[in-house]
Amino acid sequence: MKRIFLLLLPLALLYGAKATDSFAGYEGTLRIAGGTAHIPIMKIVAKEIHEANPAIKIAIAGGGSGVGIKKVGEGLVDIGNAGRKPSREEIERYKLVPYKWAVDGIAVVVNPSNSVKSLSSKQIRKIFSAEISNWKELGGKDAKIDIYTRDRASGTRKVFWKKILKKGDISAKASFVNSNGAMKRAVANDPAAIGFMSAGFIDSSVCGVAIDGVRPDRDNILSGKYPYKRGIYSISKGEAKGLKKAFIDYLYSEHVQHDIVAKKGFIPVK
Amino acid sequence: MRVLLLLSAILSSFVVGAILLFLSYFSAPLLERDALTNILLGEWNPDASYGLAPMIAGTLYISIPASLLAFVIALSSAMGMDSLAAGVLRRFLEAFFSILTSIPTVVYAFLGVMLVVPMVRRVSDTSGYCILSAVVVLSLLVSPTMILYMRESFRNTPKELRTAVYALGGEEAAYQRRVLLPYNRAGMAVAYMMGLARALGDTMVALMLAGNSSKMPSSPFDGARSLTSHIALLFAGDYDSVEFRSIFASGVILFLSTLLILGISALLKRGLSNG
Repeated sequence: MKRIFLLLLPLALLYGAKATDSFAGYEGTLRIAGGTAHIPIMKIVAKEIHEANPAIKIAIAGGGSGVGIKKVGEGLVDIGNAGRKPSREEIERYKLVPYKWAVDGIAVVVNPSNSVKSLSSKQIRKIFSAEISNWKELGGKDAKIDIYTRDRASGTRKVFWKKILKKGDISAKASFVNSNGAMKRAVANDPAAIGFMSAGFIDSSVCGVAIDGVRPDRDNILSGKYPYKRGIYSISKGEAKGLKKAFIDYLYSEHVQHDIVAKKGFIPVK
Repeated sequence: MRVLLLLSAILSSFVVGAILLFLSYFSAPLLERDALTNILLGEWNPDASYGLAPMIAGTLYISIPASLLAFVIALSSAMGMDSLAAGVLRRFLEAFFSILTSIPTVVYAFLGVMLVVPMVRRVSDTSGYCILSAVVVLSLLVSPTMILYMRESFRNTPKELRTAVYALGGEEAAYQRRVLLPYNRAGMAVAYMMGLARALGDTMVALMLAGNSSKMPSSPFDGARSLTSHIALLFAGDYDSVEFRSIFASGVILFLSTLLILGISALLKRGLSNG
């Protein structure tokens, strides 16, 4: 089907058609929930589809990757988003089909006013386990480090914990926030903050820390020089069909991959 | 008609009982794993110990100071309103406080994030997401409820009593100290209890302002997690995990403590009434 779509694409372009034309004839509501890193892209895509075909309504909710997998598995939503690959048990139990449509860096972030902008992975582990508790010890100003973390449903947390912390401890004193957006807000407002989030969410309000000398910017993630990354998945229960399939194909379309995914700081898969 | 009313009363008490049974049933797997004493007194360290003590402490450290502070605010406002002559100003204040009670708590919490957290951050060497911020905002949230209950009680004070105090040469202060406060002991106690119940049950303020750290708090500048925030945070997790079961245990604790408060306030109302 995807191949047919690709074959038809040049034809469609010839007739001045848009990628959203594949939604013609569909109607109904598509319910999406889960990973919060996906939300900015999902919102733009949903708006485009709804504008092209007002009979399609797309409802987007957060909750975290764990929730996305659970909800799609139990049939509560049509598409579950996750910032990690579902585990083999999850895939088998619910007959899930994950679609990876982007790659995203996991970045450690600090407030832009912080003079510490580069850390070793060892220092990061020590900060999150509260072994290092003052920015002074890292060459910054004399201020207690405020650690921000996510709850255990977060895919961002899972990947951060596994790949950057190497399954090290996160201090129980850390403050909890419940989405990538909330993490950005918390770190942007707190000069002594440290947290972690989707690299796609970094803007001028927070500063991505260079880990072992490598900054989490687009080029480094794209070239593989920055090693801490994860797939961005949309998951369907069983092979996606009908409107679900049209939606997932749209995520893979050149327009979405190049004009939305890449512009939002994620790495396109096509 | 009477049968209908009786039926609905039975139905609603049945629902309350069913909720408690349901919560207990779902928290049972937690009890198989951890002893009750550990759930009530232990630390929260998933996979090893599912103790709710830090959350119970967090709930109390936030809601009790907040309700006490709110009581002070509410009592002075209610007394001030009582001493005003009936007129535009009093009507305006009454309408104002009833509007305040109906503002969604998330609005209070959001304002707290924007205004109170940065202030607390400036005066302390912390992130500002701590017990103190939550207490300040929660007391503002709870006080209008207390004011409404107190106003209701104050309004039922016989008018002759004030006239009598003035006739004896007393003034407003004497009336308030000798008549208004003693006469309304029960009403004030009930107002406090209702405010406390609201503070205990509130989720958004603690969730958005207290930092939610799962460690036992030891100072007002520490982060803390209330039982309600604990539920909200875990709700997104794996439905089959033992962790998730502690949601129901938190629910049972909250349910029973609210029941206890309602019971106490009913007793206080009877015990302190003017008899």
